[in-house]
Amino acid sequence: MSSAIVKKDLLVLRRESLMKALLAVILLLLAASLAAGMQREQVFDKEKAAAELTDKAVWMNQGDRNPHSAAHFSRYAFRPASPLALIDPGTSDFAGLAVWMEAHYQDPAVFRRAEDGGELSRYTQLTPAFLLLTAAPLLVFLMMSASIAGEREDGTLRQLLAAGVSGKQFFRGKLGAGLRLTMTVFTLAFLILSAFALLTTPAAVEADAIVRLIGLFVVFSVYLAICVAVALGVSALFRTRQAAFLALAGVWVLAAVLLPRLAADVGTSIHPQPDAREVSSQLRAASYTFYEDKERQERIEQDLLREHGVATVEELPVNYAAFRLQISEELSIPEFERVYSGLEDRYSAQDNTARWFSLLTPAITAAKLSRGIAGTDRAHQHAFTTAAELHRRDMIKLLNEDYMFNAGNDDVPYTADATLWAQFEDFEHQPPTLGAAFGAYVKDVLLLLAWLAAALVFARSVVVRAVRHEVRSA
Amino acid sequence: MTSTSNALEAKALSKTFGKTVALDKLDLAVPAGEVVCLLGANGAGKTTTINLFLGFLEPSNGAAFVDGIEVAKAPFDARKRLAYLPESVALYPKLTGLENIAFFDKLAGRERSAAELSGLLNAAGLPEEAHHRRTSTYSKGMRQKVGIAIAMAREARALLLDEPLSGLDPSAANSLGELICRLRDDGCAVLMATHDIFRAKEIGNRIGIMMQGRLVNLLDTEALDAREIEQIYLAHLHEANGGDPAERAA
Amino acid sequence: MTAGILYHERLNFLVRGPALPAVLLIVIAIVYAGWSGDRWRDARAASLETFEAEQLEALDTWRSDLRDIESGQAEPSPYSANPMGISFPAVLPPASLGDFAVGHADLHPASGLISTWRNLSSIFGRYQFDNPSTLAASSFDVALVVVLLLPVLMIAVSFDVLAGERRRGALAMVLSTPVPLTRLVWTRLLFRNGLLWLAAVLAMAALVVVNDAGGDRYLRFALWLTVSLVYGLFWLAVIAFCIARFRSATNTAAAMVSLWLVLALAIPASIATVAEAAYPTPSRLAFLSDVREAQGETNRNLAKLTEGFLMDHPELSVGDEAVPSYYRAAFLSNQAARENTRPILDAYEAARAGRAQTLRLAQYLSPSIIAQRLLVTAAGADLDRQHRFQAQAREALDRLAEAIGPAVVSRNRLPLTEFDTLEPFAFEDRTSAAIAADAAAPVVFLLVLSLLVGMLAHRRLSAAVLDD
Repeated sequence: MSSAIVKKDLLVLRRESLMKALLAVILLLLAASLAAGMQREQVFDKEKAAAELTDKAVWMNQGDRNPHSAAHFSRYAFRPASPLALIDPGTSDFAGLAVWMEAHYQDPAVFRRAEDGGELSRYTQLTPAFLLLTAAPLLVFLMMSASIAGEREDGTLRQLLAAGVSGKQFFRGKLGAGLRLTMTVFTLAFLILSAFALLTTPAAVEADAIVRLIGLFVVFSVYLAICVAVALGVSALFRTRQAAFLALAGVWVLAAVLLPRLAADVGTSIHPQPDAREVSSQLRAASYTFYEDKERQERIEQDLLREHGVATVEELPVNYAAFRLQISEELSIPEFERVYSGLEDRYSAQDNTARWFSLLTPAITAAKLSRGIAGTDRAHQHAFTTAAELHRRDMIKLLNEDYMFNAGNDDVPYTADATLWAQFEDFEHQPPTLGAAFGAYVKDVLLLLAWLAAALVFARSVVVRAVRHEVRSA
Repeated sequence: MTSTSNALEAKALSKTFGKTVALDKLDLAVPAGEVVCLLGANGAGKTTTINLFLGFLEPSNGAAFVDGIEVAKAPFDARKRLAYLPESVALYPKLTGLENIAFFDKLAGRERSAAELSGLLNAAGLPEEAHHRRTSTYSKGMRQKVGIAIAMAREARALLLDEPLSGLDPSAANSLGELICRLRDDGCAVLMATHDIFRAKEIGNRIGIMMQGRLVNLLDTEALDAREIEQIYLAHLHEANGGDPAERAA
Repeated sequence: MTAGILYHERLNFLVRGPALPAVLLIVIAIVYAGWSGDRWRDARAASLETFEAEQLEALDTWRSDLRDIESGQAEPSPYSANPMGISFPAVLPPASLGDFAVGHADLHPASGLISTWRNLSSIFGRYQFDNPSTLAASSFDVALVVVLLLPVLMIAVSFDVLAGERRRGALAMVLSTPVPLTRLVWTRLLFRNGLLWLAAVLAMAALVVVNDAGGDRYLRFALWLTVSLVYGLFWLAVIAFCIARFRSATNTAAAMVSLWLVLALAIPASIATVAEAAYPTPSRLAFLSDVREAQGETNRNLAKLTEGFLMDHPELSVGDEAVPSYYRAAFLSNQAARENTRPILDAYEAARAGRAQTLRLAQYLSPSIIAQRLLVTAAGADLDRQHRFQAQAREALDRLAEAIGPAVVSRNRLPLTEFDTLEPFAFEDRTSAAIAADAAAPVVFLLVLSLLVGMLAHRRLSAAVLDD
């Protein structure tokens, strides 16, 4: 019996012209967003490759120079592009894509692509993820709004019941029709998206990209299934198509459009964004840790002299200025870590406040998982900046040690040359695989599944109740 | 406790809504191949009776049986043996007549071919050209015909009709009447609620007169003509209203 | 007659309809957005004030050092009162209506240092510390409420203006009375939406007063209100048109919501994408590469560059040789970086101009774009304001470099009298009159469009017959 209802509903839905028009608009937008995304990513790949080449060339051609002077000039670490940014650029445009690995400073990642965005860039962004997470639910709601309310309005529900259909069979049939149509269209669209995403994926990360694509498919599927179930339940709450549709449109505007923005805003209202000036001065203070602490400088000097059994720094076998430079780096490290972990804590506090809103809408959780799995969220950014910082420490240490052991202590200006510069490995960041990063998302996966379960239970109970009510109201 | 000879049977069937008695100890049996028409004013209990047979209502007392199955205990089994034609047949407006009947056919677990279903629609009197048109363009009579075709497709043991003739033009009502007779002749038990005494006399084997939830009379249509039935009906009505309005006024 | 309709309305709509929730929702949304925007603005203003005060104080110290040296009260040291030590704070204070829209203001730098230690890429210091997740989500500001939420609520309170009659089959009854259908529809629409807008306007007016920050706030708010109301008028006309155009209630509602999706989200998103693809900005990475190349080059050729600079300025005599050479090196390398990146900045400006031109034309495709642009501009959170600040800061840096260059390279001190002629940085904002002048054309367009659509709806309603 359910299968008969599924088939009939699919037939009816195929005749909804408004829905077909909206579907066409969304598919068209999906194609446009795909094309725009491909162009963007290709341009970006080229730019990044060029910047890396220049960075290396400038480094190698800096000529003879004091290693510390070179450490001030240093190099940049560039964030590798995530192949799935094509589907969901997530937060990547709002996070810096290059880190200056200079001496004395742990710099934030700079060059946020969003800063080059146009006037409307903060208002909306046309990306496949936006279409799937925000626009697609409206289509689902439009499609499902008449599902039950329409049968009640037309009186066909009574006839179905007189024909011996039970409430559960009715529910299964309705849900089946909605899921089948939604999943068919979504799967086709997603296959095309995936094909294009894989076309632009470097071979080295292809295996991970495939795993991530599967993950994205599951997340979007579950999310759309939640939308179908919610729509079915809401449709069963009303006796007319129009009331059901309007209620669903309201749910959509709130759940898919406004609440996600409100959630982030409440997060930053309760835990304000860091004050850039303040963080800057904290970083400056961290950088000066050693130089500001005269007592400590004295102590370290005495320890060093004692260790080498000499009376003055000039007698030391190492360059004392270079030694101080390296010591100052090492003493600054925990201070920098404190500043940046403070920032991370604040971000987490903001995101955790926002997470409370995921009890009101599955869109927040789905979006979070989407960018996490696409490798474009804050955690992946953090992995990049952490790797860059580790690289910076190694690099500066190598430069300082060269200075320390080769410059002597006789005040003759010391310079190193290209043989030293050539010893440095290029920064290459391998983003974590999904398998490695997955632990951070378990909570949200469970939350999304809980949403699915709740939505199904809600839909089932409302539908069964509506059917019972329909019988009673005879 | 079950009887197998009657396709539809009510035993002391009662239904109260709060303090209102909608149906009061109805005893009625409709054997296969017979049409019983229920006549009565609005609120006399006709539709309640039909809804009790459909299992849309639970009886307060007594029981309704379809083909020997107690409806309240196994409503879905009972409904599988029933066909139901409401006052206004609801169809899916975006589907054609043929698609509508195909859907209800499949719900009943059958898979008739399009030709067979078309045959049923023809038999119900729906013009061939309308089979492939969306039912949103149908008149009420055409919708009722599709409803009858659906009922025929169900090959039900019993047919419940809730004022199926109201709002139909005389020729449409006439052909619907003929169709009901044909189903009866095929061995179907028919229970029909109606306001139309003359059509009831024409189609029905027996006529039950209902007043305020009670079956007050069960007439054999063979023995009486329509005029006599009307007289009896008006007399019951008069009695129920507490005498002649003119007398009361005096 | 109108009074009769209104009386019926009061009962039907106020008591049972979606009016109360809608009014409540809009007031809550505006008040929240205003509160959140106010917090943001105050925090930013306070931070900028502190920054400016600190920097000015440092500059003051620098100046007194110079004065003391000049008057012989202090021993000159190679480090003190060096012209490289001149550093003017440059701040972009939030506009007087800045609490109404965060717009682009949270993404771009709001402060910088006009100092020759800096080049065009480092002038704004380190500022990229915001949580990228929340930045990506954008702020929930009053502009968002007006552009996105208000039309939705207008649809919610209006969709059943005739649908009820149509469904109950009472339209024939209405048409048979002497009340023209148009009057019924317009009275209801104006009443219901008027209520919603009254609540919204009152809530916004309250924000203007409560969060007052002085300046041209009221002028900007007048513009804000004009744009909002014309935008609301447009949606009212669209709603009336949908009611007249679609017979079934469901189609009316679905058409309105779909139109909203297309006009308020899909078209803006598409246009943004098209404009960015058509006018790609030169990459920041290329900019970075150029800066680095120039700096590398300068470092290698420092001696030659110094000589060249001094040859260009034969009037200079070389001063204190004890001034560290990296002062001069930094100055020259930043100077070179500035020269090198100028073409990129020009290309960047050209791309920006191209995009802006595209959007100026394309905004007419969706009233939501018009509203979004104008509201954000009225609030002073537009992209243009950010760029203007950045350009002005760069110009100030150029002027400073020109003024102190000879002294730095020749290792001389800048005379106090010359220093006192240097102007501190002050951001020159556009006047509210200029903003209003720019807004005039789109606002008039929106008004005309609304009237046209409204008239079309009116004609259709007047001709309404019972054909279903």
